[in-house]
Amino acid sequence: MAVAGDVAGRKLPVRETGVWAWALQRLTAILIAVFLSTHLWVLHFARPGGGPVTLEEARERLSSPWYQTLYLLLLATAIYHSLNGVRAVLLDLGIGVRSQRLMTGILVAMGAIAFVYGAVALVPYITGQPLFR
Amino acid sequence: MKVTYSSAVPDKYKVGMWAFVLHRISGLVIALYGVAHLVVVSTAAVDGAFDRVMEAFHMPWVIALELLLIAAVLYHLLNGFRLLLFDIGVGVRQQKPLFWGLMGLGVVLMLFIADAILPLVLGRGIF
Repeated sequence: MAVAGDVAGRKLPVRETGVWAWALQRLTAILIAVFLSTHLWVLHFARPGGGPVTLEEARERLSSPWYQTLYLLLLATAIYHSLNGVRAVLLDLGIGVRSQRLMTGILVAMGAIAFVYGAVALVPYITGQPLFR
Repeated sequence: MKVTYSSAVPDKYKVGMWAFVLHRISGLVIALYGVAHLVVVSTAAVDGAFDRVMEAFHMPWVIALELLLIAAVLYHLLNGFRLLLFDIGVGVRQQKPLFWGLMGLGVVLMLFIADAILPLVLGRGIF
């Protein structure tokens, strides 16, 4: 078993993946706090009037590479943070403790599907053309 | 005998226990909303569908639910900030006052956000 490192002459009984998962959960938390506040501010507080969001204004925003980057990063960080959180909750409930690799595999697959789905969903905003008529 | 969280946790740790439970529940709620949000915004793929969906969802009870969502996000954000502080060794001995201080900040932020959003439901804000 891979160990995380040497602390006071003792090997920590933690898998390296666990330590990385923990560090990434903190890093994505900070990134999401920044990306999500920007997203919410732009959509709900910096918009004139209180009408429903229109596709036209969303497309106008997403014509900028800054917003395209923001949404792709928010998508990726939110998916990681959510699914790693779900993993922690399941493990605490005693689910998948004996088959962590299988559970992690399923969650990674779910995350990959969600990322592809979200990235494809961004396309019509960027090109200004619907995918289906 | 089945040991529940509640019976296993001494009184002086109960605030922390509920903070933890709420962090998990709010996280799951936000994750489920994220899935719904992806589905809704992906309607832009179908010609004209996005604007119809946005108009259909522009109703008082949906906006009220969005306020609850914002409360969940604010809680998760502020309590998560507290956890980050503990990880870098700050405030470990002041966990409870930190919790209530951040919750106070959360209530203030929530009032401002509700004041901005409630006009869409009630026709007027709070202040």
